[in-house]
Amino acid sequence: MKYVPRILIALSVLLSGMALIPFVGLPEEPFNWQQFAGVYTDPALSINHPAGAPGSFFTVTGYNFPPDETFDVLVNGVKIGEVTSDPAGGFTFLIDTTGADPGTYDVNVDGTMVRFQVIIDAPVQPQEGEGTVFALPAGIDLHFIYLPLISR
Amino acid sequence: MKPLSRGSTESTQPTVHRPPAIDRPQGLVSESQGGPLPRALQQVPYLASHLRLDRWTLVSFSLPLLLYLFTLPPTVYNLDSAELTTAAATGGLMRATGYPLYLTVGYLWSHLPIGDVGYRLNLFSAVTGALTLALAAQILRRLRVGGWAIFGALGLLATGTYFWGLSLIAEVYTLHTALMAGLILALLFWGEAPSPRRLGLVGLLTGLGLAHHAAFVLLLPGLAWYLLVVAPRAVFAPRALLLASAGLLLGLSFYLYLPLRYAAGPAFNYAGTYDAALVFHPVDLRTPAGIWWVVTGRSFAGQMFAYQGAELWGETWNFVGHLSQAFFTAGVGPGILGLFLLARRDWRKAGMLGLMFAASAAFYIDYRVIDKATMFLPAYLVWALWAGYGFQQLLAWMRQVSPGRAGSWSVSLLRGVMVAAVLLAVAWNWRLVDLSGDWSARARGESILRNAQADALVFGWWDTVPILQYLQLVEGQRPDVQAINRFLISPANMERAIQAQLPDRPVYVDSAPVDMLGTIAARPAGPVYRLSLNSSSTGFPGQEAKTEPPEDRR
Repeated sequence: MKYVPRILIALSVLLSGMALIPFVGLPEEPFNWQQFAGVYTDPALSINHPAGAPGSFFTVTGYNFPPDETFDVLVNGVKIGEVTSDPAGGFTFLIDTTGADPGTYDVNVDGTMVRFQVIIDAPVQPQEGEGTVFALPAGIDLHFIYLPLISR
Repeated sequence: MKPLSRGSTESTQPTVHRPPAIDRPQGLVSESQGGPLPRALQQVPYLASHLRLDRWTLVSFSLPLLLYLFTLPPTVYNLDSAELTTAAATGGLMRATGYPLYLTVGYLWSHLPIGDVGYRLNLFSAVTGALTLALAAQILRRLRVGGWAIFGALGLLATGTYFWGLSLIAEVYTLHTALMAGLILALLFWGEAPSPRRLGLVGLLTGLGLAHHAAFVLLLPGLAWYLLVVAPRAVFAPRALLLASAGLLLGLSFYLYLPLRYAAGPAFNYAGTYDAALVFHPVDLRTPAGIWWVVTGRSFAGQMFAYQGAELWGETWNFVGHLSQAFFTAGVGPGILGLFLLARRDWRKAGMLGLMFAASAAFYIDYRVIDKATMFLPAYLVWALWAGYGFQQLLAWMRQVSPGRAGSWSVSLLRGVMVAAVLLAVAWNWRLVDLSGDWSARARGESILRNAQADALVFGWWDTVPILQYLQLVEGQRPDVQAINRFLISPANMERAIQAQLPDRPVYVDSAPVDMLGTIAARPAGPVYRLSLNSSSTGFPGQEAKTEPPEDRR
């Protein structure tokens, strides 16, 4: 049985690298060119109007996102739907503000943001373009409170 | 419990003037024996006569090659592969660091009558990857490492995602590692009997390596170390210096490719920049300054030595992760063991390998690029040698203490674990690297060309333009389209060029130019965007913007 400790030591050396697995993991990423595609450009969102009265439609267009992927659409942190990018990494969706409260809204797709405001006195923006329409729920508007700054 | 012994196979005699161990194998018969090749092959003069082309070397070449052939992409691949393939097949010029050896050999290889040109250059990587492993097997044989240990170490290297993946696509790395393995082998060969002719071979391989990739310079500290600690007088003997210099110059002569091809005005040229009028200004490769600009990678200087402090430590830890994954974690322990035992028993060779490993790893750890995990291949190669040495010492240690049936059983157990690790790596990594059904690069390029209107101008990054240029310059598709890599034109010049060209010709871009969306509109056209002048105001957050419906896509 003298050889048993040696076997255990040898096996320990052979398998010691497994101790790194919790920290570095095993290979999981496919080795392909797509993982390096689009790394030079940042995704961006555009919106057709900065503001509109309740009942307005806002068209949001995404550019330079990873192609053929589905993303959550968040408004002020609340998920209102999902959108799938096309082969060029673009997408378009509309936001229907009927029933939404006046206020400021931040649209967030995969960490990229664009802002619009619903203002009672603003013109009603009609529906422009095509795409999935997401209804903006009430009660999620942002209200900013500006505190006075006092300096000596 | 005894400490790990020096084993029965490793001589402690000085390296210099030791007779070629591989010619007279001692001990480890069952680990290292292999049938000789046919006599005709062994009659190849000089170098081949000193190589023991046994079954393990053949296995080290043929098994990985078979694996790579099964998983090779059937046509041109994307990014740098498309660039390299196009440049090699058309006698073009690359960005830094020039790669004249690859372009010369690749040009000849691209005429093989098999598959399309893209496939041929992918195959070239597979062959040079397998050649790396065969040469590494020869190195390990010279370190008195037996067949099973060679299989375990090189099997893990060959089936790791990085080495396997880079052996499947047209890339510079496996030719780099083949030359590196050849250089190490030549150094060991010289160390056994330091003759001027053998030093000439070292010089030749150094020259070839430098003519392939300027990063070969990272191996020079290890090379200099070995030459100086083994036989400095033999290095500075006039005849040795003469032959080494001649070999070096012969290898470096491949740099003549750059001025010669520059003078020919190749259609594919990435050594230069475009201005706003889309006039290309090539770097003058007929001048030493121009060649120096390319060779030293001046266009990438900003990425070198880019990390400091905690960020650098983070990158170092990332390297540990890459290294672990490159050997499916199973090569980590034996690599460390091999490193220390080799340092104890042969500090000359250990110093050479250690310096090569350290320089290669340190440079790329501190290099700010996204695909640097693939650039550690030289470091992985050295690690595989250490792992092979470690495997061998473990096997020898087991046999030493248990010479009977139990010893045989325990050795078989260790061999089984090594083989199982390799097979597990194959099974695990196959799904990650298999490109045998990957037509995506060609499909993307052909889709863009199909959608492009006549005389179109296409701006794009590496995943867009090189594949278009391959289809145009190698296969003759859509010569009316002008494709410009955004790497070769500044953002300001590209914006000016877009504004100037839009009224006269269709302009496409692979990602919407965010800064321009106030004056132009972008609508998807296949995998790219078609740009058009926007009469109304458009914009981004806080501005008005205009979107257009997608163009018809086929």
